[in-house]
Amino acid sequence: MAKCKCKRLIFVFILVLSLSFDAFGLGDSDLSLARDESQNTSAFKDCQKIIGIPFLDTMTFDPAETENKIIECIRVGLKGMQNWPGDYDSLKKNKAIAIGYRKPSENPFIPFLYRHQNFLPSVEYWGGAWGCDSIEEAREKALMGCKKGSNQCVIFLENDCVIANDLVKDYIKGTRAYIEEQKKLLSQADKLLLLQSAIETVDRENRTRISAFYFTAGKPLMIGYPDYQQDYASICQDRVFYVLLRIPDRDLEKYKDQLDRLLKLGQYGCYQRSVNTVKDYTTPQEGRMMENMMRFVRYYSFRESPDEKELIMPKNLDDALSTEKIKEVWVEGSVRVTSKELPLIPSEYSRPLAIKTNESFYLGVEVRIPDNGSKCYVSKPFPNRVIDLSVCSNDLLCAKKVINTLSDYIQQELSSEPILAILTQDEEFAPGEFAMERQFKKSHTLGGPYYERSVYMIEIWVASSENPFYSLYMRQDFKGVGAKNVCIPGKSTLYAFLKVRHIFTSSVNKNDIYREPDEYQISKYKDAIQTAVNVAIDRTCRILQGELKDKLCTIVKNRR
Amino acid sequence: MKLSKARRWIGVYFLVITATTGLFLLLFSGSVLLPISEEQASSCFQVIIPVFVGQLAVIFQWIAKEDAQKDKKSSIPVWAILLPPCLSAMIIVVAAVILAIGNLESINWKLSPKSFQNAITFAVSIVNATTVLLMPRLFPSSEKN
Repeated sequence: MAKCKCKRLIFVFILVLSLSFDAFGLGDSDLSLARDESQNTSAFKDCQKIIGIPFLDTMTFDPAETENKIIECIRVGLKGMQNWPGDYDSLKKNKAIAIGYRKPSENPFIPFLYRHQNFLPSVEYWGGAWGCDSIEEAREKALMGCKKGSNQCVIFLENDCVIANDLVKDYIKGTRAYIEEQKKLLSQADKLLLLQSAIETVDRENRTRISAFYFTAGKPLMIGYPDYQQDYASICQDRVFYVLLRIPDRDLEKYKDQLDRLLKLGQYGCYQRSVNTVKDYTTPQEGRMMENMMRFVRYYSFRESPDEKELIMPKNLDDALSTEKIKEVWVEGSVRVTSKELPLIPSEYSRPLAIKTNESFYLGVEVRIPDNGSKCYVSKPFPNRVIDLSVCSNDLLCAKKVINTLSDYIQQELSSEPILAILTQDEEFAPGEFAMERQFKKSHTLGGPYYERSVYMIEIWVASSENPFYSLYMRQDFKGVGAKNVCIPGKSTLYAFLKVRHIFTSSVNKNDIYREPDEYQISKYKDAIQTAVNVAIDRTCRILQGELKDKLCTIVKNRR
Repeated sequence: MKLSKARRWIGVYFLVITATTGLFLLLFSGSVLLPISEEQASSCFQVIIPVFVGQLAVIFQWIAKEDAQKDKKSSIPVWAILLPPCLSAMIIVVAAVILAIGNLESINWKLSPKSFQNAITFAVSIVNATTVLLMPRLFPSSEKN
């Protein structure tokens, strides 16, 4: 048995060794970011090390551990299968077990960069024989039993020995194919040194400081792709990831000065994105509405290494910094703005401009793998359903009436005490959206001497569920509902979802700088907005003669 | 003006102005009466307290040690004793009033919290440049006496 295991280990070791050399490229791909001619920057030239490349991390796996993982996976699978004898060890010798397994395959719902980590073969059939005259006989019988259900059969157990060579080989082969593909994509990828890009943008725009608007109180800092992740969901996002470039100490001050400059600036970097597609947002389909976006920088410092409530990072960065303590983080977020640059929807995710740990200082690099043009779905997740208008599934007028009524009442409530906002005029919004604002006026919500700069973004969305696939594609027709079918074909449920987002700064004196609010002020506004929303839903439900239960108004068929 | 009267006047002035200004800054920041942030109020407090409390310490040190003294007539002009503290107090009061009124929605005066801080610093500077220099004459140390 020892000899058997030893052979296996040598086999796996050789395979993994050869694979490691290929994947790392040793002088080929590990510094490909640094040597990218298109990024002719001193930072890239000076780089000592790039960390956080997702798929290279998988090559650090221990061969023996990998083998054990596969064997354990199959053992667990066998135990759950029909007619499995239970205790294999107690079976009489000259015994063998053959298994039919599915070849490693990708799971499209696992992020692209991590799919190769999920190549675990699953057992579909088994055949066994025990108490045979010879092991050859047991093997033959086991394979015969297995092949009744599957063509892809291999011997997994022979007496007390586990035979996993073929399985491991398949696993490694699948992984290798992905590594090759990813290596190829990485060489074609766009790489962007985020800090340098931001500074160049600021220099080009020649902006002066404006008051910053954003707050993140009570929310963890989430590192991710800010351009869509806050608003839209798409598996295409997997193709953007971040790596970190370790910076020599001598350059630290230079970069910190640049970061301070960005922090003082407020908003910068105007760009546009299309409303209803996440694929290739720079060249959206003709005729589709565009949203104005801007960028902003935030700074976070941590006394201790941050926990999940404070900082959420992608797995590759988490792994890369697992042995270091993060002390300071500078991130760049994005925000949807009006044509007058009033912020409407700030991103929940931010990209890492720089990270300082107890050991090093890193600059963030955005790597965008080329889109292969397929496998994208888009949706607009909405969590807060307020009206069940399933009765309007095939009646566009009915759906419009419900949405318009809700929209009117929300507007009325937000323009009443204590919020007193006014409708944002001369601005193009998608169907179901509007904004309200109260600029440089006394805050009746906070009371006392306080003044506010508030923007309310109201989004009403109609869909069959919280996060339906492809729900975004129908948006241009009518508030999330296809004009012809009203309901997405094949769905009978229809809900109206409501989001009211509030961005504000306040000042204790109207002649002072408007600053980010504190937790108390945020909670005061939150309560006021929630009250306004509740009243609006209640009034909508009454006027439409619906039934209100648990804050969900159900429109009843014969009354609408 | 007799020395005892001048001392009494200065003593009461510093006691009252320190207590009221300090209390006002500490308790009313962020209210309609003092529309500045806690940090700004704290900055003003830090400008006033070292100077005013320092003077109070000198005054009370003298009061604690000295018993009866001959009440001589002071050679310091009355205006030099009375005017600087009065002006300083007036600046603080006027700045606070303008700050509060200027924060009303319908008023267009523009006194920012930063200007208010400057006014406080200015008031303290006046006291520093005038009354503080008279203190050794009004409240001499025991050795000199």
